[in-house]
Amino acid sequence: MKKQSIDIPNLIKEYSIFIDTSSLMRSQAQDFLMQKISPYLKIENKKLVLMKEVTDELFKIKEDKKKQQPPEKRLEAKKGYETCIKLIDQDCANHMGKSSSVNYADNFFLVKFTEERYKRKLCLITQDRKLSNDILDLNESSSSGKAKGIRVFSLHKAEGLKEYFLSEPKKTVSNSDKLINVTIKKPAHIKPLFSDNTKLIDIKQTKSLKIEASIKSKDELFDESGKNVYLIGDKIGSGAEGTVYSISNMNSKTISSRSVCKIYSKDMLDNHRLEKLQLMVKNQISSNGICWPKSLLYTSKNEPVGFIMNKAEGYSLKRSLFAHPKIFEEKLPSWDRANLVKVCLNILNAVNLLHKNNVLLGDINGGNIMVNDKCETFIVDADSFQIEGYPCPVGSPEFTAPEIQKIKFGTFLRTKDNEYFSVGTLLFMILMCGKHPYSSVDGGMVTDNIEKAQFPYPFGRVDSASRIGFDPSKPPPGPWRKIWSHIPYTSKQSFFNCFAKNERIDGLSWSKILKNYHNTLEKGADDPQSYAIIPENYKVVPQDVIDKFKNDKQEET
Amino acid sequence: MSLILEDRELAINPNPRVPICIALDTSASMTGNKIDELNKGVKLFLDAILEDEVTRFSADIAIITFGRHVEKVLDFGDVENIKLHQLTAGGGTPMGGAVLEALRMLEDRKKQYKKNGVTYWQPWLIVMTDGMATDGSMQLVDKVKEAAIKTSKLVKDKKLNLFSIIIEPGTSEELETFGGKLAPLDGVKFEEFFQWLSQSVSVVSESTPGTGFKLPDPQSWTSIEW
Repeated sequence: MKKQSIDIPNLIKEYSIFIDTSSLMRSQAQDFLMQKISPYLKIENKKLVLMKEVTDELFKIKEDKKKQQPPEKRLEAKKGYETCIKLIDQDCANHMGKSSSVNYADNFFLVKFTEERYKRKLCLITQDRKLSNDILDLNESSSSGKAKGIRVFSLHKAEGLKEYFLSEPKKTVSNSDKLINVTIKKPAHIKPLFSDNTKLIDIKQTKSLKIEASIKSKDELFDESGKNVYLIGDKIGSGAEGTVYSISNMNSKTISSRSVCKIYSKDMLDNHRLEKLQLMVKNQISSNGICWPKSLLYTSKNEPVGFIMNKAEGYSLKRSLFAHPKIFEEKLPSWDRANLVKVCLNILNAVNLLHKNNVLLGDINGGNIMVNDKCETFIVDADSFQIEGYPCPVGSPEFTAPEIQKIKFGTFLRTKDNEYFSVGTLLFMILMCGKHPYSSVDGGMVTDNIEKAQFPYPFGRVDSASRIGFDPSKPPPGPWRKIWSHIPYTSKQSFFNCFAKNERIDGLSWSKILKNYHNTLEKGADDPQSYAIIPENYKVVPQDVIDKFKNDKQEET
Repeated sequence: MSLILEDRELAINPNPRVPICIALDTSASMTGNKIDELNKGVKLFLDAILEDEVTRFSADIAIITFGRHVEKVLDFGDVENIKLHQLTAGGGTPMGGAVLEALRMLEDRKKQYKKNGVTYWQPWLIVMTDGMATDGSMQLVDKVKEAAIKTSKLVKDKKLNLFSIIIEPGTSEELETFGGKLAPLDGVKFEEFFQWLSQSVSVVSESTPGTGFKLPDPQSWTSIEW
């Protein structure tokens, strides 16, 4: 097998290099960094990036106040910490980031890399296989290839640096470092089902389909081939556009438990909607979490009247998770916070699948997503999705990004970035039990609040420095600030960036961040109140973190 | 004490609220069939609001009557707890004073929302009357005019959804000056009207604040189209 040596000078020239705690704790780290890296840094007049979160973590392990670490680990951390001090002393590293109660520095890297990846080329040195995969995934998730490229390496005894690549399932893993030995090709890029580069179709210029039929229970309908006959069953629900019925396939004589149909009200199905449905039926996105149109339904006169889709179960978010706490408790009495995070992750799975195929949901809101008591989620109203040139004709201002607040829905094509705002708002409201991110004291109408972008929740010390006009008296009274205090750092940071700084992350990044949140809850959170849907107290901050915070503050002043 | 409890309830409920003030004519001319049907309609309305778990926690309703005097018969935030007394007819038609009181209440309620970080829809005001106001242009202080100046500006600024309903044999003359939507009630179709109103409130509760919403067709209780 041919080994590729790493061109260190070039790496230093082109990339900003970050180092993780796990690598700094390696015995060879100091020698390697001081001898192999630092000379080139001086030549290129560049510096390594040492995150405060990393040095904090090293410090914490080294001091080990809770007496949990084995002595050898404390020694490794001590040496790593000394390496950091040397690097900083010799002007080889920038010490940046935020020191605070961060437990998981790898989350932090993910957020940092997500933010910075479009600005410069990034390199991470870590021994953590999982982190390296998460970081490398960012290369895959970057929209339209704007990212400048991310590389990840580990420290290796013999070779100095060894590059990580995204693993493919079958490849073997080397036993020592659990690294992949050979350069592996990235998984073949699967082409999205739909184009993201289509001109807007003017849906105002519709032609009526002049459909005469009026469908009700017990009527018979046909699929496109005319071979399958369906019997319309009981009415399940109705909305402004149409009615949902249960349906049974006459050929198999069974009532489908998984499928239902939507029948449009008079004049609600126009030529554009029909064309879009045909496009969707032809290109199936199959996921239980998305009620994608599976087949169009026609009358015996061949008039299209509706479509078959997956059945959604449970309650709308609006009538459960976003409702008054009494209603939430009534409907989902045994839930805790892990369920809420799971709901977020399930919705994100569906959203990410749609986004990967260049489908935008458009009208994200609490009425369009259903959830059952097993945390399974279902996105309904798929016929209003934005697909290629067909815009989503409707929207919910509460979930609409400020830059498109005043534009009439259906007259423009939304961007993924627009939708990331809606996704952020949705996730916030799920974790915050229905409270809108911009509900604040002295706020007003939701839409005004969005345009003013006054996010009322505090975020560490970054806040006071970076946010002009932030008034700590604005968080709404009630349980909301307590809930906020129990949300982990990286999630809070991403919400803060989205709502206070207008910097949004994509759904894949959210999935990763919230998976970590879920893992924390599974593993056992420090504060039992962190499991409560509505906690009674603010999160208890461990004493050592408080002490450190005080010390830092004194140093600053 | 009650104020603190009230604030707590405001703060703990994440739903955006729609404040709705209904000003009802209970003057002497409403005696008989009309006041009976009105009572039935109001009861039906409150029942429908309470029955739905979304509107119960988002529709914030107050009722004012104007007859012998202007009286607050249901205050905001009380809809879950109060037993509404039967409305009785008698006295004059101090509609101007009632509308002014309604505007003051809506304004106060909005302040309370703001204090508690509650988001809301634009307030609704419903005025129902069958006659000329007794505190209007015939009087030294024309409260109808004063009210109309305020309401028409609020409606124009899109800060108020106003519905004026003419009960027979009333005329549109004064109500027109308020701005907003105006419609005559067919006969004594109070129940139909309040049914429509609860459906409308439901439509708004299901929509999002700040958006347009399409109200149900009012043809069940009026002959005109909006």
